[in-house]
Amino acid sequence: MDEILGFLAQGFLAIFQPELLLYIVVGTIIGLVVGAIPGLGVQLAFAVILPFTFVIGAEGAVALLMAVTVAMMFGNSIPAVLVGVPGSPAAILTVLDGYQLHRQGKGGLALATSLFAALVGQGTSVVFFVFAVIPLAVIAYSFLTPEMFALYMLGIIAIVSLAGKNIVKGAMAAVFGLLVAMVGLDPVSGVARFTFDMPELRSGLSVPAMSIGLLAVSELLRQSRQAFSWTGARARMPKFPKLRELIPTLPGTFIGSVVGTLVGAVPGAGSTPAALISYQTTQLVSRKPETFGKGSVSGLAANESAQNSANSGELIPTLGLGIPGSGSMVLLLAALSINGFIAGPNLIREAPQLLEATIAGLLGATFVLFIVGWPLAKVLGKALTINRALVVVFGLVITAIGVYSLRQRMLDVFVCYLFGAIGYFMMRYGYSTPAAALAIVLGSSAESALRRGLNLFDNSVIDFFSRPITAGVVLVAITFLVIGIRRTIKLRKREAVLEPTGTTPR
Amino acid sequence: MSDDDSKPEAPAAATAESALEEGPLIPPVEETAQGVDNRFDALGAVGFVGIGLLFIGLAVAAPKSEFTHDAIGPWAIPVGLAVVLIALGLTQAIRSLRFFRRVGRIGPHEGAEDEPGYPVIPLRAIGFIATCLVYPLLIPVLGFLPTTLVVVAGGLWALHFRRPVPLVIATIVFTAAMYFLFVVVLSIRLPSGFLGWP
Repeated sequence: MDEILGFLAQGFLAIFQPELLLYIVVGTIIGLVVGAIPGLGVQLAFAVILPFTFVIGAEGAVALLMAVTVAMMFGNSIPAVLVGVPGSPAAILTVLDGYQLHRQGKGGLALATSLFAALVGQGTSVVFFVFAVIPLAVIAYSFLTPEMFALYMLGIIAIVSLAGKNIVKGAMAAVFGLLVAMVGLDPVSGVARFTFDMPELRSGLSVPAMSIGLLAVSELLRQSRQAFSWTGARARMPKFPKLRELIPTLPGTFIGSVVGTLVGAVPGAGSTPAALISYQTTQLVSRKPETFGKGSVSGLAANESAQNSANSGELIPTLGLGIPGSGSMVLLLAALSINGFIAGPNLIREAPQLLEATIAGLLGATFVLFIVGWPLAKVLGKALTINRALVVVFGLVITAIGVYSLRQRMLDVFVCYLFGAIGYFMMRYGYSTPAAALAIVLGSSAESALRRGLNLFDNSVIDFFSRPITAGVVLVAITFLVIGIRRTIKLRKREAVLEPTGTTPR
Repeated sequence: MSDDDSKPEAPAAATAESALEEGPLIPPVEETAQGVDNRFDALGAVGFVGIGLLFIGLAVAAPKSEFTHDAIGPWAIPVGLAVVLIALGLTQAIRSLRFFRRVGRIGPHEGAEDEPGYPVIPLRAIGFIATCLVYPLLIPVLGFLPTTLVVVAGGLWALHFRRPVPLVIATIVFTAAMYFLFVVVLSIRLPSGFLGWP
């Protein structure tokens, strides 16, 4: 308990370090602006910022990225409430109730509810996060190579099973990622593999370049498919309501905080399922369930609170175990690896300053959002009509230069765009790009853990997998696999029902 | 306000006709299909099978070391993964082809769907992909500034950002800002081409 409170206190004090405070303020503003522009997701924001993290250092990078994620959640709500356009998939529920409230002349109440729930949800989930991640760091002392291998496999299987509709395609994406991660020198023997005798490939393909390509560039290319028009979407900014009008939001906010943190901690889950489960739970316990979907402040609060709490929830497996649970967390670990930190259960022990920076980023951004959230929302409400052509083209060029700046190699830019093209087709046809990116990040470490671990146990597979923690983690992985297979079977059954009528071939 | 109207109003969308009005260089637009083409779905799965075969071929052809490193060695895991990829790819390809035979060309959408209300121009995405792959090859030859100016202007024009003055201003301001940020502020050397420009 003393250790947990100590980290919380250190993280709170770290907010007041001038350099960190600057990154937190900048990150909060960037997050608000990027979140308010539909089409720009947190992965793209991370991808653009990621190359700069080499310059500002690991702690600054973590604080900056955390501030961006905190602010983006509220930023997504601005267009959702004011013009009925969600800034992210998780904000679809915000549109459901928030935009309805705006149309009823209660736009100020809707936006204030979003802000209030975001602040409370984020603030409370940080405490949950620290209480969860510190015990994990203690358990980490027991982790040898078998446990590490099991964790890596759990992360990959979880995201394959829970994200996406087709587990076969998800598995293909993950295996593809594992294979491309093996280009370069073998981590155990040093043998060159799949290098085509090119010296440039001996160090392997750039992991940040491939991750950014799969997660961010693919999305930009996908947006180039359609002819968007944003004329006439300017919004009038409503007034802030009286504080007592926010009291009915408290139950939903509380439920959202708890559910969001718990669901967000499951690798592959993320803010969208967290928001949905929180919304449904709040509706179940509400005295006025019939108002949900028609302008319920309680439902809106539950949704917003859960989205923000899921931020901290995702950090629990990412920083506590080294298993990123979403695409943005994959990029967070890529940012840490650029600065020389290896993801894993020992990360917190070896670099406690990263945990303090994380807490500082989350709490600091919450405070900054409290101060600037409403005034900036008023400004952004007038600027929702940015042409998406600028977003796509500028985003593509910025990511190219950013990737180039990491190793000064144009090959990395080509790899980034190549994987962006691959990711575009993967996204279109249901192959999970987060699963592929995660497998790329973890692939080399997983192989190394397996082979070194077997050496350690005299090549005995039974001894390798029968260690208690390893066996437990493998059991959880199998559970996720079963869940994923059942989901896919359900989908296939639904398809079989559709087959007689089907869609009309063209 | 009507309680029945729970769907939010979508922003004004460009219609297929207005897109075509932009000029003959715009390829015909198509309405967003309800799903994906099962043939391309099968082709994608076959592509993964091809990747698996490539990795197996490279592993088999690679010279093997005489020294024993560990029980598994450097090639067993990649070959094993490639076999798994081939098996999964064939499974998915067969499934897609079965769908094609039973339901027809269009099957259920399992990936990211297009946003409703906005015309789809698939060839434009292909054009962007081609440009993206050529861009890093041209920069070392022509230099960062000339290449980026052309690519940014071309990209904005392709995405219907075509009013001449805003197009030129946006292109020049953005390129200059990127040069300032990366070269001047972050001291990163960007490739200079045969003209000697950065």
